[in-house]
Amino acid sequence: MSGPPLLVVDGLTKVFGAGRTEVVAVSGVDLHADRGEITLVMGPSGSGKTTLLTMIGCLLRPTAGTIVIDGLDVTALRTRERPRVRRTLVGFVFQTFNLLESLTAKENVEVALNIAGIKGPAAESRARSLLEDAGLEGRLDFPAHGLSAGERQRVALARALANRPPLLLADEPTANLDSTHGREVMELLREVTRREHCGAVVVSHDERLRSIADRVIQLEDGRVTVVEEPLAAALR
Amino acid sequence: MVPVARRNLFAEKGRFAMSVGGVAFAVLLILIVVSLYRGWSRTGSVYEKLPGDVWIAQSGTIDPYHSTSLLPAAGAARLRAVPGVAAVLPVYARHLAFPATGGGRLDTYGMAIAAPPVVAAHGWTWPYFPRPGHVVIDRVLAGEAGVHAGDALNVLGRRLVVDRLTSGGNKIVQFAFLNPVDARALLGEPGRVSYFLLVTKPGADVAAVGRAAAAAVPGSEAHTSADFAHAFSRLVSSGFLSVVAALVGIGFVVGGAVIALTTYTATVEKARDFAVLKAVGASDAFVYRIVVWQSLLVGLAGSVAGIALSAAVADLVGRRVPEFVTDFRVADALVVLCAAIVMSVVASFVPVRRINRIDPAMVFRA
Repeated sequence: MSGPPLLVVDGLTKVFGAGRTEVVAVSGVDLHADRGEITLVMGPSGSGKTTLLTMIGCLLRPTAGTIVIDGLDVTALRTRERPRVRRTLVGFVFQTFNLLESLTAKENVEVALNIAGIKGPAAESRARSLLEDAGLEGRLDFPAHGLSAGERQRVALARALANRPPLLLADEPTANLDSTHGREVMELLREVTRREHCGAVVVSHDERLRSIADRVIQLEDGRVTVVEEPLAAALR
Repeated sequence: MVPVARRNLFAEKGRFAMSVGGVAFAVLLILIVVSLYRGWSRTGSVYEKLPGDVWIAQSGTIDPYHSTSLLPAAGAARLRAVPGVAAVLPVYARHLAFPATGGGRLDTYGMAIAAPPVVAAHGWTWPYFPRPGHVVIDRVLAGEAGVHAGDALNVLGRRLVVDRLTSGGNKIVQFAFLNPVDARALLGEPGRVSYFLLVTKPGADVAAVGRAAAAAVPGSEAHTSADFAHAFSRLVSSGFLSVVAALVGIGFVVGGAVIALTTYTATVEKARDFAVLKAVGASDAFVYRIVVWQSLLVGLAGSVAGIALSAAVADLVGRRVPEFVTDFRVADALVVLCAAIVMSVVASFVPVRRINRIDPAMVFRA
């Protein structure tokens, strides 16, 4: 491996409330991820998985600890600088897809490019290319609400990749999909991390995702309890 | 750019149509009231159409409608001698109130202009110079009296045949033109006229002619035709401007409220979409732009629909209800359009706090 890791999370802690209402959602989590790798974060409900992902995605400020993405300490950024990180360094894939229902599949990807300042034919061409790569060439102009769940998640993945972020953050990406579509999305996720040479942190309950993960982190009560590297183990 | 604002609005076609309808209705209210006001203000414009430039009236005449002016008929000879005067037209005028055939009272401002041959030579023959025993009345009066051209009216004991109908009058002020023979009898002041209307020579200084003419007839003063026309505008303004201003204000408030409500509702309903946009890196400015566009689209669509509707209604009202004199002006429509744009931008600030409060992290909640 050459160069610094894509993502370095060091001593990350998040405490909600104070005094008797204090809840420690994430406590002293360390992790790292590299380009081309999938890091799977597993754990029971309430273990702090989504809170961890939200902090890595600059949507929530940690109480303590640091997050360095592609060499940039994002925890040190001011509030108004954080959207820039979200549009350039990370791409989100959500459990409920979170497509804009009034837009078509292509427009959902284009709007992410527009946000980053890419407009017109350049945005249209990039959106088309991403959706074709996701196997949606026949669905480009379909309204989001007219797509199946699997198609919607593939559109969401194309949107996450639109601005070529080095890091993908996926929250339960297969939870709302049947086994076939879940498998398709998993394979697509594996494929894009390799093709786009980006890293991915995936939060999930879905044990099937272990098969594509380079690293599995088990969270319990906000703490890392187990770190496995199943692919490396398999290769050994 | 992906037209997020347009798509958001069109996704709810029913609500969009209602919002546009609401703004259109407000614009309709504003423009119809303004065009009615303008139409009524124009009542006195007949003075600018009459042959002549300067009116010699009895001193103290405020306006033809509120003042009674009487001058010696002999003054005509002195006025003819004033430099710059081409013709002197004695005018007999008075407010005529007479009973309607079917009961009730009819009111009009009767005027007769004694036209010498020089006036006829200028082609000024119609509709201000009816033959003896005839009268030219406004459509409003004809409607109230239930008469048509060719019917007879009994005006203060004098039978006058309606020669033809004119337009431009309203319920408060409209004009009837008589022959001087009939007018003299109705005025009942032998040897007196109401005004002298002076036709000036080409190139003459109208103001100077007016001053010289007023000096030639003791106890008189000069007014231009424009002065008298404006007197009627002022009459309408003094009576209705505050009412018009209130109605126009209500129209703007209603229009602004509809735009603000639509924008706010659309923003609240799409809060999750805005959270998604923020989550994927949209700046506040990017999100505000969408909201401003939504507001502008409602405002513009509503205004354009309202303007088109107002033009159609003003035209229809003008033809079907003559007493509702409308003067629909493109300039007024443009002012309303500009005001709608400003209102839309202002209304888009209503949901700003709501947008600021949208937490992008909400996108992780199922």
